[in-house]
Amino acid sequence: MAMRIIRRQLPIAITFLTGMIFLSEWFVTGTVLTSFTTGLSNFVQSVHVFVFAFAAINLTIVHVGRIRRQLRAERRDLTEMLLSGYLLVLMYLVGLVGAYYGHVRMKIPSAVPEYLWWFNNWELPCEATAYAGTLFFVLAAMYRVFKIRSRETAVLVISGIIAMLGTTPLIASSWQGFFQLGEWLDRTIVTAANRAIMIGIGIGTILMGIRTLLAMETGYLGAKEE
Amino acid sequence: MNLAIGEQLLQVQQAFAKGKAFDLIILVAVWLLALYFMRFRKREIWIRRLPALDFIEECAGRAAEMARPLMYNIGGGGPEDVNAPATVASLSVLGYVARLTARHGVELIAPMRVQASIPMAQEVIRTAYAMEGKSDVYETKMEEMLIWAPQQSNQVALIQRTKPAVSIMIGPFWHESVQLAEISQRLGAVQIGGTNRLVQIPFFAAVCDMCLIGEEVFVVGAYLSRSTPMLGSLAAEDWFKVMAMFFGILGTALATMGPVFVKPFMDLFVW
Repeated sequence: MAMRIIRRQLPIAITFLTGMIFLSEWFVTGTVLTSFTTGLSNFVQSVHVFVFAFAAINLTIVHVGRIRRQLRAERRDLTEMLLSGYLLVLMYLVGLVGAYYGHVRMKIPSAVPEYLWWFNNWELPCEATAYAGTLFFVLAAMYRVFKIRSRETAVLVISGIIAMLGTTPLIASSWQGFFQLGEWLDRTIVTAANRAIMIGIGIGTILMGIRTLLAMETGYLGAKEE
Repeated sequence: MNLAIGEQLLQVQQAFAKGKAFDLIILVAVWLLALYFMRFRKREIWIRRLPALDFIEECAGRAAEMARPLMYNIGGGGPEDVNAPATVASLSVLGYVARLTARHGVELIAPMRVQASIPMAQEVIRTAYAMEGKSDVYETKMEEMLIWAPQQSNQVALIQRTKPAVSIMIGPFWHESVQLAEISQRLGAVQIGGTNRLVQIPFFAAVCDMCLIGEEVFVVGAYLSRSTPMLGSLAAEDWFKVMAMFFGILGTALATMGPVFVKPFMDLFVW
């Protein structure tokens, strides 16, 4: 019974209360509700930071356990574990040393600059490369779509060719027809279809919110245990 | 006494955000209509089939036959951002999928992009396995099931390493949608995609075997549970669509007639 209250009824009650408060705050601004929602948002941010710290400790415990198990096993594969463990320790050290020199010795109130260096020189280039790779995936997906199998796909291929020719500089500079036709397709046909889908998404979101607030949609809590 | 009440009313009036009265009326109307359909309408409500959701059970069987994992991706939205409804809807499907994988003895892998979603997904999978009497499987495999993969490169690497037989991606997705779908497709995985994010819908439609488009993502809970109140909310949704179509046609006609006609109509929405 107690577990049922903690696992199901309490989250449902919290969802309803916070949902109604945030909903009311949208309509009535500058009152006690605003300060409450701001405080709640700050609380969520603090919880996120705490979760990160907790996750780092948890990750360390899990890795140590796994490495121990691997050491006992006959076929050992420690490469990934040691690499991630090494990077984890490295991050701890960078954070601690950076925080000591930055905050304590040099009295800099900002975040640890070493992390920024890692982010700019490691994370960003890797992300940019991965993002650039999207182009090739889009091309492959486009190749699959541009096969005429039915009337609908024929219409799609024809409109796609018009749109492509319209945005090709050589074609567009010699004859404006494709460009204008492509623009018309984009502004009229595509926008109409997009708006229909957007209206559906909007209505679906509202109804989903109502179902969640009224504790009808409880899939996020897991299935009801019999 | 009267003055005090008057002052209080004035304060509430001042606090009431300008231009939102119409929004409030519409919202109350939406709530009332939805409640009517959910609570008081007893007639059986018919809903059309969603092949993508019906296909999930077949997919779980396929993964079992091939002895390869089933990957379920809830997308990059969190439970506290604007995409929360889609994330919540996706968690409902995750519960259904987890029950199927537990029943068929299929390995489930659920990469998590947002750390705040992990405890929720954990609870969803835990209860699903408990209901199938496979709590021990969950306890031993938990670490492999829920993997925090915040970047698309993590997820692509995970797909290439685990070679899933089935890849289900339902929830909010950004540009990683096409990468994940393409990689899974090349590895021969059967795919079901669905997102509420307009820009990514064409990619899923192009690459996946089955696709949920836009609002279909939000009806999964109702579709899978088949309970009358939940189906009632879908009926309410259809009525709102009829209203949206009516206003759309009216707006188009007035806009065609000219700004003199359309201006009073537009003013209706801001008071």
